[in-house]
Amino acid sequence: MVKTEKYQNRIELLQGTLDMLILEALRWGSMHGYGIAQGIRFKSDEVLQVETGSLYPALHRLERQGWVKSKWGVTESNQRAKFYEITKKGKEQLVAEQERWQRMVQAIGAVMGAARTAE
Amino acid sequence: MKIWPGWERKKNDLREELDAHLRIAVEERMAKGEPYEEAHAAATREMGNPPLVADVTRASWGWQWLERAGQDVRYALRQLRKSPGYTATALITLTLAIGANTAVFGLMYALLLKSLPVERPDRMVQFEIQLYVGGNAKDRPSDNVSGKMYDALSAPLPASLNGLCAWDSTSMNLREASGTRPVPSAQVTGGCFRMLGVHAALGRLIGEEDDKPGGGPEGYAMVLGYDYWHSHLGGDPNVVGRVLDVEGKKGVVVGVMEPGFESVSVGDRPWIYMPSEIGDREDRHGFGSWNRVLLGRLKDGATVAQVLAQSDPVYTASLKAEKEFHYYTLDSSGEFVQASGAHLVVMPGRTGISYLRGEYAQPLYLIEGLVGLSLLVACAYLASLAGTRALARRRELAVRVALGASRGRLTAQLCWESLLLAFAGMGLGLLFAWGTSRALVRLIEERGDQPLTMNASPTGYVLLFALGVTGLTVLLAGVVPAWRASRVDPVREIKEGELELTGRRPRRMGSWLAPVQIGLSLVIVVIAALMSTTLVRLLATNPGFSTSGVTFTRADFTARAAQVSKDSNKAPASLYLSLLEKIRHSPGVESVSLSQAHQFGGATYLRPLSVQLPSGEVRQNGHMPNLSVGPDYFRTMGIPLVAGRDFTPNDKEGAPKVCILSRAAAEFFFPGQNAVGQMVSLGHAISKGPDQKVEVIGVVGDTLYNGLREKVQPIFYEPFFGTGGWNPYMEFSVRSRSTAEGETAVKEAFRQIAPDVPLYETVTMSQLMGNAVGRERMVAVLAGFFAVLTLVLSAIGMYGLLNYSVLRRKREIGVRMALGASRTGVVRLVVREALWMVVPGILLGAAGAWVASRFVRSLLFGVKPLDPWVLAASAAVLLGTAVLACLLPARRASTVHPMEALRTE
Repeated sequence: MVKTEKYQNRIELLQGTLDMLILEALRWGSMHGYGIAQGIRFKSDEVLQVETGSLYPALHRLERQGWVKSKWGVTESNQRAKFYEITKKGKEQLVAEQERWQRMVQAIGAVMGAARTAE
Repeated sequence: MKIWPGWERKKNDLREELDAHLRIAVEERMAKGEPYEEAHAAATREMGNPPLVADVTRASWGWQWLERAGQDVRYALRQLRKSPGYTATALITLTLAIGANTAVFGLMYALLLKSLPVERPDRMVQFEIQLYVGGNAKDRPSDNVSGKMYDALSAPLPASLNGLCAWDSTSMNLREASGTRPVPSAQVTGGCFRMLGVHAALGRLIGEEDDKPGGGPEGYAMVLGYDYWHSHLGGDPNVVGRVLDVEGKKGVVVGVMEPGFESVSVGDRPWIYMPSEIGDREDRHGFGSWNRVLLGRLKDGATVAQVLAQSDPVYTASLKAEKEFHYYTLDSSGEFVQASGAHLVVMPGRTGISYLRGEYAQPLYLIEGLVGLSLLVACAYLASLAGTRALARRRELAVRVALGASRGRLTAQLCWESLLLAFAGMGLGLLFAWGTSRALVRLIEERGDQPLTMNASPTGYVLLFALGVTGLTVLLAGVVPAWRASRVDPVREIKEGELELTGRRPRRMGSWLAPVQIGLSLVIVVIAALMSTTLVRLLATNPGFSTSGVTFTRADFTARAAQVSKDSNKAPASLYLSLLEKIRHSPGVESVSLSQAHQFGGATYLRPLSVQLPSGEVRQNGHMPNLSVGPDYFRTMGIPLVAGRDFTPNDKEGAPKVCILSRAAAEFFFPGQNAVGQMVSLGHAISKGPDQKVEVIGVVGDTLYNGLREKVQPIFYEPFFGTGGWNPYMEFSVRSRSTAEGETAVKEAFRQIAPDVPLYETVTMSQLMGNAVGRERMVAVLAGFFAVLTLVLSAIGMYGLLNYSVLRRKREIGVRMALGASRTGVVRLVVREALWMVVPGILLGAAGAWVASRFVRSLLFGVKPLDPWVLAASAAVLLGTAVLACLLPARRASTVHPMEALRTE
């Protein structure tokens, strides 16, 4: 079944990573929730699928932190939707998250690299 | 119900946002060429369950607990609305329990615990005098000290003190355009206000420089009480400089006291504060005028013990210097005895001084204890009610547990009901306390004195107390039963059925509450019964005079006496005689007299007397109570003349000296003889001179002198017109058809003949008798109230438990009856269950009563703490209540129809 395969391709997101991805998706301009989810999916070649049940709590959490702000607007196809926009504080947070992420990737990479050489 | 509109808006906003999400997703799919149905289905699948998404998103807002609480509150309110009977009972119970607790605590706080509104009240100390008889401390120390003590202690001031203040709460005659009247005043020494650290609202306060004989160049400096200034002078901002005529002395207003401060005496509200030197010399500097209270302020680091060590030697030295001076006190058998010594006591003075405190502290703690017990009874009652309700909802709870509800969540939900009830009860209870606080103060107020201006309504700490009590109620009557009720076994409860037939019922909750409740009720009933018996016995005491139809009006003849001569205490006899004549012929008046002091007037006058019998034996009494009374005093008071004659206006100065003895006095001096015609000597030893001997012209019936607990006192009566007079205050006693007529007669006579003589408020003999039992009455009334309250609560509680048990055992009873049990047998079943609650309850209560009655011992009169009749009657009352409570359930059980009961199986 198609659906099952699709699920096998998915990767569980690390704690806190979703926030970073959302901020990154908003870096180039304001976007509504569906657009953010689609953006992440598209950029990750369909690997990262953001569940609505995770997306909206994350968006509301980010808004409460003051990293994004929201306002109602109209899409290109004239649909009313809530648009999120990254704030200055959010951009600073994104830079910090990115650095943290880089360090972690390097660290994990080093460990896994060592593991592979040991094999 | 909306918690707040912003919340609802935010919720709608989220719903719309999720709707938009779905619409955009569908649109995008349709744009790729999918048909609407398919696109919608796929998008919905992808999105998941929108309400769930909304739920978890809202959870991220962090307010979920509040939302949940809102749901619970709504649910609890719905539950309460569905059972108005339960809600009303619980609310009334809580209102009474919390209200009564708050009201009594309010009074206790105002009288016993509240700090004086002065600077650093914890540094205040108070001086008292403790009398000793044969080396043992006698009675409570007395608050009252004399002016000379202040003089001795203030120069030099003890090193541990920063300041000293002698304060005399008295009433002074203020002459106003409308006439002269006594107004509540305070005579303060110069350092008082500075030491207390109080400030003026207007102008300045009295200082050292104002407290000099004769006052300042303008007159005596006067400070007005804030309330007096507001209510009587309209808050006149130009009041400073106004001249007042106080007892013929010129006073000038220098300022107004700040609001909030009234007096160092609790419940006292002076209209005018004035320097102590305005009083006459003897009054201000004498050793024997016990009219003021003495307060000091500790230096930083100094202790109460240091103050005592530095001041008591000064006091005892000054006492030694007064050779003529003796203290008297009542011994345990009600006889006056001379004190063997006296010492100062230094006490913390944070709460100020109250003459009521010594008398009411113990009864108030007792009442607070009783109220606390009745609160526990109320809690037990509410807990069993809540428990029963939870039992009725077991099925529902079981289903919810089966569906995954946690025990904590269930408990929380059950608690909301009690929380809502408790806080509604607290609100109503505060209203109750606020409404009854005035009545409570009135219960301890003595008629004839200045009215107590004590604020016992709930504020500050009292509100906190109410909150604490409410919290306790929620905990005892809500949380504990809820936690127990939430322990349900879903499997057993849902398929419920066979349990009732096994005979062994599962342990019901609340089964131990009933005996506790009954026990506590018994304690309260016993106390109430003991106090009511005491009150009845006291009121049944025959005081030796008639207690109704007599009024006393005090008149202050100071100004008139001063016109006669400088040292005179008396106005011309003709003035008194014409006043008496006028009153005697007023409508409704049967008899009138005047006297210095009278029975139950509060003051005690003693004098040494002796008699030499023909046998040579000398009988003397160093301190026999005496009264100086006019003609017709005995007729007016209803005291029978046993032998001889009454005084007449001709028993005056210059005429042969005469006296009248009470029967006990006659029996003391002349045992077994006729006293009339015999001679009594004034003074300790037998006097030689003829002027020191007085002839007994009559013997009158015995009376009590100043209290109902006293033994009959021997009393020596001297003729009012034949003696110099002790002070310029005269009591006009009137016997009349109605007390109102008596009061009017005196007022009218003074208005016509001596309008310048100030009159005090008229008191009736029955009011004075009421004062004499004020304390006992207060305890009896309050204990009675709580006894009834707890009895009713226990009865309803027991009824509820029994009734519920009959309902539960209906099938069992049906089976028993089908198997041949008789109706009486079934009734016996219910009664046995009731006895299981009552008997341990009464045993528990008897133990409690044994402990509690120790505390009331000193309040009792004519009844022992463990009076068997009182105990038996109290137990009978409880048993009767229990019988009433099990009548209906027993009836219900006996009318169970076996067929019907079994058919429902």
